[in-house]
Amino acid sequence: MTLFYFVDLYELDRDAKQRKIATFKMQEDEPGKVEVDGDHGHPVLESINREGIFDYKNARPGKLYPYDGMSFLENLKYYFRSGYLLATDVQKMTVNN
Amino acid sequence: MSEGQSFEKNDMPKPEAGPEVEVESVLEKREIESVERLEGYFQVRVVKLKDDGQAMFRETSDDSERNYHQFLRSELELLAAGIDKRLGFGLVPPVVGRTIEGSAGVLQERIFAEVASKVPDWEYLVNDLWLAKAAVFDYLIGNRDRHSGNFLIDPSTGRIWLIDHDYLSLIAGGSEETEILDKAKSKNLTQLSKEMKESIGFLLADIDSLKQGTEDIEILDFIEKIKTRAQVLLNTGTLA
Repeated sequence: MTLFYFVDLYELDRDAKQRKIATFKMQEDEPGKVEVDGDHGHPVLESINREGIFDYKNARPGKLYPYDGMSFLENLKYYFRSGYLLATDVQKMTVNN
Repeated sequence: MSEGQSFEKNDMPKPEAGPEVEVESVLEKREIESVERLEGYFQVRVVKLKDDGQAMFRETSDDSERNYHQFLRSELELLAAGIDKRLGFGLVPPVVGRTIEGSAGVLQERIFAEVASKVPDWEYLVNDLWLAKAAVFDYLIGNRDRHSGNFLIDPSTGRIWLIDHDYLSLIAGGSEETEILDKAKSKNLTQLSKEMKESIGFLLADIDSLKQGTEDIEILDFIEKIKTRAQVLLNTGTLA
């Protein structure tokens, strides 16, 4: 059994339906490695990789990137909160090996 | 002053003057066709209004202990819209208080434009006057969380809309990011025009009306800080 932590990021289409841009997931025993399932060419994902996001939770200066692991995952929901782009809280998923 | 009036002489982009009142009236009274609760940590619903487009609904929370990040979200969004309206800038989508499915909150017009984070090099696609107005607005409200995820642009017209005015951006301090202000400075859009100063004067003349109906110390303090910043801008004439 392997435990994953993950966050889904959605965008809103013109018909008011959400479309998943990506799932950011991290394996419990690989805490510094967040994998991104999604269209890596999507401008929002490119923006995240290029610009990073902020550490709202701990109010620390500097940016967070996928390689920052759980800190990155925990802050996605604060960075993307408008509804136009909206992230979930960190969720857990267990996968049978 | 009607919205945008002071800019007309210098061909500044007009923030859709007349219809704004109508939009607010529609948001307040129009029959609701459907409500879609969105997946996400923050509670947002998309509301389809009968015969009249879409709006974004955010619940009010008065429970600051359990729900810190939702706290004052509605009040601050209304306040930001009130400031924008007094300035006549047309940057904040129209927003009203409304109860939806038994929950009190704010209903804001949905803007069909692109979130800036979807538009690389957005600063070259926006009209300089919209960027300058947005920079003045963010300076006045002391926005501490303006990043490319919380403003919208229309690359075809160069227009900007500002969203996400909440506890994180206006009171607690979010990312300490001031992307719009920084881009305006990098494009040397720091000097206030006569019309811009006039708008700030209109805001100052009426800003105390925004205190009506609130006793929240943080909001009252927030308004006082805007007054101070507005006076600084009028005295110095620059964002630099």
